[in-house]
Amino acid sequence: MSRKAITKVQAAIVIVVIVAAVAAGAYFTIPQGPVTPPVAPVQNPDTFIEETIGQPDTLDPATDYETAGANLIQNVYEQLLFFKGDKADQVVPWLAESYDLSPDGLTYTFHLRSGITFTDGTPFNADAVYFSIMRAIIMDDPDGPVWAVSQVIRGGASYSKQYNNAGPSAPDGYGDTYTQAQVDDLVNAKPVEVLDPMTVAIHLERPYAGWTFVMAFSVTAIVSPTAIKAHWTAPTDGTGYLEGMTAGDYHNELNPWPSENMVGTGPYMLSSWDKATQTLIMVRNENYWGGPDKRGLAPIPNVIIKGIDDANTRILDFKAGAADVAAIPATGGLIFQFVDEDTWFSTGNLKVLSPDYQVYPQCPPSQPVQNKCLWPAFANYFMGFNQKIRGADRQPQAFQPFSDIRIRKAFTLAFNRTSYINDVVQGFAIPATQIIPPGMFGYDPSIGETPYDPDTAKQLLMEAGANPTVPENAFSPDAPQTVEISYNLGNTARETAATIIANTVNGFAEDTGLYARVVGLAWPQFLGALRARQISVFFLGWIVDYVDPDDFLVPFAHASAGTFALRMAYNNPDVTKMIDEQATISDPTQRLEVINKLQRMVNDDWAFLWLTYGTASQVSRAWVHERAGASVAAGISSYNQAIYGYYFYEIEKGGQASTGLIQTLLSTFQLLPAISSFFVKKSH
Amino acid sequence: MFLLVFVLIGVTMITFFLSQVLLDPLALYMTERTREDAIPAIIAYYHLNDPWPIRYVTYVWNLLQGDWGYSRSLSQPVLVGMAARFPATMELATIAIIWTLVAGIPFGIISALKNNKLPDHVSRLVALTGVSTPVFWLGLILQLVFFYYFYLLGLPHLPSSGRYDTTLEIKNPVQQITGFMVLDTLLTGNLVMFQDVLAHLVLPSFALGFISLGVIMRIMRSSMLEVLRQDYIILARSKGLSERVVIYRHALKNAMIPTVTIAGLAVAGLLGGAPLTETVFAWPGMGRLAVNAIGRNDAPLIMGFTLIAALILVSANLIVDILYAYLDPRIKY
Repeated sequence: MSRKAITKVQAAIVIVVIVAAVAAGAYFTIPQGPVTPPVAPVQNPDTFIEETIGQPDTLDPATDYETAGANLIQNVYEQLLFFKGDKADQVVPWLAESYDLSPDGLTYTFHLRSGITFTDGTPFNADAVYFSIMRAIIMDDPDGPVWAVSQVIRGGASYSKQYNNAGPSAPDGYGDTYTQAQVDDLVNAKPVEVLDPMTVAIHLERPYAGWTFVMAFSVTAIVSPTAIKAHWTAPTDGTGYLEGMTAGDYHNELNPWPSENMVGTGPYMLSSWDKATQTLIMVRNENYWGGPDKRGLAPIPNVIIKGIDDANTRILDFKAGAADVAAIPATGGLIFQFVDEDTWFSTGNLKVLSPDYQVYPQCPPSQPVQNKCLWPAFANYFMGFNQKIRGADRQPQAFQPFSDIRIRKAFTLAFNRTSYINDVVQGFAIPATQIIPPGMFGYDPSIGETPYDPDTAKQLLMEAGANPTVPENAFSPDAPQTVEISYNLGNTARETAATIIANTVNGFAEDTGLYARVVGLAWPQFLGALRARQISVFFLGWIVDYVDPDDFLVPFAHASAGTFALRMAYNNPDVTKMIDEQATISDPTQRLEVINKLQRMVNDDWAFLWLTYGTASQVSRAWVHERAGASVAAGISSYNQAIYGYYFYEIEKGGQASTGLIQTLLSTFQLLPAISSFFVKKSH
Repeated sequence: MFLLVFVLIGVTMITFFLSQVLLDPLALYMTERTREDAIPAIIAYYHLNDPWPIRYVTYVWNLLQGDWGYSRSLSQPVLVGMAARFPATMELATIAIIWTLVAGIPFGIISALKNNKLPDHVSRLVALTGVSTPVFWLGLILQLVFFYYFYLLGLPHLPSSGRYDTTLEIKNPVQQITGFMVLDTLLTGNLVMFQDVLAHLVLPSFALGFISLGVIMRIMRSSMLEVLRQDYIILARSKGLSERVVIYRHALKNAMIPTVTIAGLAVAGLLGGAPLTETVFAWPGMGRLAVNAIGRNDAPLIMGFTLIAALILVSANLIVDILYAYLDPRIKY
């Protein structure tokens, strides 16, 4: 008995000692504040390494509709037009030398540059333009970006299954309902016309102000016809086709090659894509023509893009210099390992914590956006109020709170946007005020954000409950009603935003009789319910496709073509008419006038609660530089909203690699302060 | 054996019900961008309006024929995608389980023999730490110390993540033969990459094995203690056999039975892919694939992964049962 008691004591001592030792070790080993190591020598000088989240869906510009794929497409392929510097609303001739627009606004004639070759050695010419654009139209991906072309190009809308309401036949495979006659009709409509080997005309069905942006969008990237035809086989089941392209083959079933391989004219070539390790490798195009400004070859020979899911792992790699840039999320505050938190919240400026890193934008030269030194990104995050909520039986329910403008307004005023921006996204967002984000043509800076005004919100709800528009919409403390605010599970930002509103509304629900409940739904359920119009209040975001206000106005507010407008039964015939009208106005002043007017009408309808606009900022290793006078913003020290990810052509890595004994000694010497600070910590 | 078939049928039913019956199956084939007018075609193509028993039978029939569905997030058939990732998981799991057994069994034995003495306390403490440490936390701490702090101090540091160093691989390409990179680099004599691949295995296999280590040590210890109290051990000792023979010939074999059970299940768990470890270390295995599939709402891939994991677990159970018969001749099937 006594022996055992002694061993227990011994055991306790051993445990206490070990735990104390581990804790002490952890305390002394883990730096207790920002350690400032010396500026590190450049690693991998001939390779740019990006660590990010996620992988491309496909590398085929005809079907890719997400940012990871677009990042590669923009570096390997080129369009006839492309963006100028950091100006997302300015396009310049790129593969085209110049272009003219016919007086009726229907025909764009592109004069192509000569002497450019694809990386397979074949020449770039009018046939390649015809092939690339026709291929995207004919493949007709219903979930892809090609609608931007088909909606307005001659013959496009009547060919596309998206527009003639026939619906695609096979979402998982290539469609078998595209007949050869349909393809022939499209060809005979001559959407794209080769005038001579270096001149090509594109015909539209109606004048369209956004067309030049479509010609700079990745869906119109010029691919090598030779490379794609070499891997293509004709369908044998009667499906329509042109040589090298099969109608409806948007999952690349008859030709998977272009979804994993790329042959373009751009500054880089795809070297390999390993889907399992999530590694994409690009190498420099040694025969690159240099772009319109003749800027030679890309300075960095190799680019590696790695998918690493865990943010902490990415950050460690980045800190150790194993990555030049890494995706660092702002939510959760991980960004404050690199930028000073106090400076950020007090001044809105990004101050870097260590000379090993650099962070952009810096003001000046950049301009603050709503008192924050961030780049505005073309993304709009919002809540939609469903004006015709359907029940479980898929029929409209009796209680339709959001058909009443007073309730829509009350919910909008119940949202504390400032608290959301500061506490949830750590200030890395700017308040949204309208459909079109700042920086894009059509944004009206004179529209202010909706205030947080719970008193007015309460007043409005009292009125709406007591004097309902229809008897079914009545509510009172004696006959209370509940509104559900839904978000997709796992999205903390959306969950918090919903809770912010619900707390305000529930704060005075005992007086108004209207309660709010926050409901988390798994993504498939969320999407399913959204589609069935069963969600009363939903959160979504819209990110730019091509930089024309049309790309924002239509999905939000067009009563018959608008994805969101349809899902929330928002129908203002005047707004719809004006959206159709503005797209045909080529005079910018007149167009702006119409857009300003219609945006104010949408806001007056209180149809949406504008949360935030997306923003961008960039932390990178200090040894990475953007070339002076970059033809297109590279995404390191300047930014173009229309470019997804980086334009690697304009990036260089400075300094020398540390090799050899002297450098090693030198770097050890340089590390001494780090080691001494380590010991200093220990002596505390 | 029949039981195994029932288990597998049960698994297919559960995954099918969860994704196809309880939820709106249409939602699985839609994205935020899917247009309204495409919906009737999607319903027609996947026969979503058929009664669910018919859809279930079709699903199982397709499974049996090797058609496990098409993964939209991979743009590949499910089986192809999983096959490409299995070697990475297998390699990591093998290394992890080898070091776990090599360390866990001897420590368990020592722990039992030195019952309530210092070696016992130490190994019990390690075991307790092992079972109670969250693997993602351990992974992050290992990365922080052996990758980042070693780097800061200018020491040779282990790689943080991945299966190999991509910049190194560009110069020393690895030829794929078996898919197991340790073997492939050795077979092709690519020693630079062999070293690199081994270095990349250290941290994730340690993190992965550390949990099983605790369990195996504790099981080994307790079953050893129990066996040592049995009559036949007293008999063996009383007839004058050396302690060595008593322990290793008479006691160990019997004490191994529960350990084999646990080890078998641990192997099965590891082979199914360790989602957390693989995610933290960006390991290109099946666990990470499953995590990504969940994030991308890729139902066919999630269902396929669940089924594979169940298959592995069921087969591991079978192997364990066979091993019993070897360890204890009294057990017959």
